[in-house]
Amino acid sequence: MNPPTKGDWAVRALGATSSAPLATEDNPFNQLVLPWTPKALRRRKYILLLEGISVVFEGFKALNNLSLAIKEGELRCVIGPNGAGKTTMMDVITGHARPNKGEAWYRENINLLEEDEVFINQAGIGRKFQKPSVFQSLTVGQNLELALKGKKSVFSTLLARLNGEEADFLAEILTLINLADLRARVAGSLSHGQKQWLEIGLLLAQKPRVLLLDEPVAGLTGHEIDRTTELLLSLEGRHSLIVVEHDMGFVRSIARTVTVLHQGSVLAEGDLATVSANPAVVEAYLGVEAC
Amino acid sequence: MKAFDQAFKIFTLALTVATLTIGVGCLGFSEPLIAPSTVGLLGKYLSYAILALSIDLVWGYMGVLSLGHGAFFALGGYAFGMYLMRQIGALGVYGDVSRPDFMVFIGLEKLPWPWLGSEYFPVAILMTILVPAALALAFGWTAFRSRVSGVYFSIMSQALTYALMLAFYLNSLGFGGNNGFTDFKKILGFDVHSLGITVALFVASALVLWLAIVACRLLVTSRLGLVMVAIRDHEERVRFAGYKVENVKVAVFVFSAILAGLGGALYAPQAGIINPSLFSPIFSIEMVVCVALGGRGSLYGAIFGAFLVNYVKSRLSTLAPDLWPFILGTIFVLVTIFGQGGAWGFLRRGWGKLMGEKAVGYEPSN
Repeated sequence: MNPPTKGDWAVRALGATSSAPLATEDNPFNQLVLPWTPKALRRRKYILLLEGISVVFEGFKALNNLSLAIKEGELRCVIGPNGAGKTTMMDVITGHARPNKGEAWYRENINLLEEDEVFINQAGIGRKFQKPSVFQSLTVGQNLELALKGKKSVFSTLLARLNGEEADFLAEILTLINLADLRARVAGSLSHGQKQWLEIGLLLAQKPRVLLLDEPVAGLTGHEIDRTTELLLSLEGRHSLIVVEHDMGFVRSIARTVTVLHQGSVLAEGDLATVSANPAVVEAYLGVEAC
Repeated sequence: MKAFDQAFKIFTLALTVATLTIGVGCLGFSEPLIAPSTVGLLGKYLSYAILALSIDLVWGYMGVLSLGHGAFFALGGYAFGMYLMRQIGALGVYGDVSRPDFMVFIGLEKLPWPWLGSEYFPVAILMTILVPAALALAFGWTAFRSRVSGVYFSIMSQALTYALMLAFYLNSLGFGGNNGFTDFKKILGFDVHSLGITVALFVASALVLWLAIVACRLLVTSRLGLVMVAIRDHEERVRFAGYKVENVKVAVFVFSAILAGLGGALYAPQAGIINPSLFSPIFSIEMVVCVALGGRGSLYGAIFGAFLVNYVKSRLSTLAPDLWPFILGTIFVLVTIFGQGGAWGFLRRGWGKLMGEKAVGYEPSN
């Protein structure tokens, strides 16, 4: 693990929290105390930067020297055969799994390897699970309400009331995820596809900067996949998206840049055409999918 | 406000009518129309109902099944029982003003330090709240921090109450050993067996229960209440929605323990005895069964269940004491298999049909 750099310490001492932007143009003082090392400059170019990450589970290398760099507003697809390490990569980014080696930075000064899930989430990284995970016995509206960005300490949650601005925002999300008519429905009674959308809605309610989506179209019908494609494309630019998916048709319809994982490391990266033509990729993955 | 729904109004009305009936029936006539022993028994049920409510809050809403909630109830009872023991004063068998009888009997020369200040009523109330809260904080913090949940938490809570039971059986602990505290004489200087005090204790129990349900309704209808249900449904997802699940669990657990402790404090004078049997896992499990039978996740169901089970228990333990565990077990199995939402769910569905509503789900609101 890396010790926190002097810059990080100073930023925290100044009282910068996850909800306040750290070093940005409207807060130049924080930038002054950041180190101007080549590493820091490199971090500044990306919203998310993984370098040389290795995760070993009881001798099995789930991730092996994995590096990934995501720019602000980018939509990135990550593909790879089962066991390639896609979910483990998300676990590392969200603070759920700790790597044995490597560095992971969010924005320029949040060391993901030193923070817990809640801090990372509050700092603006949202995650959709592989299995649709919504709160079954709450209504669609309640699901979204509790996900809303804001202070989430016990006491402030007890006193929290939906204000007008938040209500508008909720209505906006409901329309976006195509559930506006089902606001009062209990989430457990939604269809599989609607649950997938609701979970994306839960992420959007948190106003994240980075969205990690683990198989967002698994088990959806063709029509639902089209809707999800539209939804994700509409988010591009406003959020950085990392989409892990098996469905090649879906990847083809949304992908700008594709990263292929294989046995825990990056096998190829580029646009889909280049990647598909790569013989190593064909052998490892695409060949199996008969693409 | 959505916290005070129709069921709340009906509950308030029922409680008010019961309190008035007992108050007028006992004190309004030259001869009491209701036997004081019945009033004492009903008051005891009310204290059980407060405990059941506290269990439902953590189990029904947050999915944390505590099989040791009786420990908080008993601690509240002991904290208040200490005050009652000090009130006996020179009226005891040995007539020792400074020490309760059992201490004279086992030869304790002076009051152990936990008894400091226990002769003052406000201190007793304060300890009734603080002692269960402190234990819940220490236990909850340790367990939830290390992400102990599900059946492991249940077993740990059972071990906790069992360990406390063994400790309280010891004479050397200075809390009366296996006899506990009993033979209370006075409360606030009044005779604890007088009709006026019997009724006053009942009214106090009804009031605390009402305040407890007001607090619980406000809690479960707040956004924190949504988070509690969300934790029950999918704990990991709540963490990834930016909430510190551990903090929520600890806070609600401590609040629940305080409620249980208050129930215990009301139990001690009305039952006339408090002893280590309240720490036994059986008692806690019986209270959990009350909640399950009444219908968990509804608050009212827990109260209903506490009355139902304890009434049947009082009846049966005079008729066929040996059969009681079997009957309780059978009812529990039947409700688990057939009775969705327990007795309360059954009543609600019946009421809904009567009012021509469509089937109601699990605590729908908003």
